[in-house]
Amino acid sequence: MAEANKTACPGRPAWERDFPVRQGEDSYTTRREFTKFLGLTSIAFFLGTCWAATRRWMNQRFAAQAAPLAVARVDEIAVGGSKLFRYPEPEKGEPAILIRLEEQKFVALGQSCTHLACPVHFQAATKQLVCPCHSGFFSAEDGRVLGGPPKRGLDRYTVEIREGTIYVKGAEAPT
Amino acid sequence: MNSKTRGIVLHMVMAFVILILFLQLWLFTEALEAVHAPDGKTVLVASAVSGLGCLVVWKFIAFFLKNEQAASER
Repeated sequence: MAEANKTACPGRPAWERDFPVRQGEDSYTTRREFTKFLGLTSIAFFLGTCWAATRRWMNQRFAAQAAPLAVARVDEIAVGGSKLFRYPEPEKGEPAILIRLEEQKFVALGQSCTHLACPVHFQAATKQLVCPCHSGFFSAEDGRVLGGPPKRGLDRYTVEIREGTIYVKGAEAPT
Repeated sequence: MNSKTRGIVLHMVMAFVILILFLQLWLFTEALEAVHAPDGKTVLVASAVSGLGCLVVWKFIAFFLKNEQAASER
């Protein structure tokens, strides 16, 4: 028996003859399978792009329908000061920052850096929003990029003042 | 078409398919960036071109498989 095994599979253990494992054949990918994989990848990219389009459409629709959010009283924030809030829901919404640039000039911007979503901080001296993670700089006037890795400006919200209260509503297009 | 020419054509078809896939990947990243961009047309154009690319890929794949099968039957 041992002799027979040696003849059948020289240098190989007997179990390989009794229980052959054809690993080469098992992991073999046919051209047909490979092309099918390429086709499915193409569909996945298409669906991903459609998802982005749908998300954008929903964002726009939601922004148009969102109710104004009372963020602060006018006398609550000093000139050169800021207040953090969340929008559109006060607790679950996206982090945002309300800045009082001048006596009657308020600006509401998204607080997430458009590079890697670190929170940005307001610097009153330079009137800039600074991302401490990778040194991104944004203008506090309109949220546009002044320097650093971010390519897109901060989200901007419409600010309304009614009866001494500052309301924020609907995101404007970033610059 | 002789077997050599057929082989070259099939390789070219596969190269085109992979090229279109790279184009679709680029369009996908552009569309993700355009979700918050002021101009909304980018994402729509990206979707349309990606859909067209997907159609072309499947047409190429059908052509490839048909010709490959014909070559293997000979």
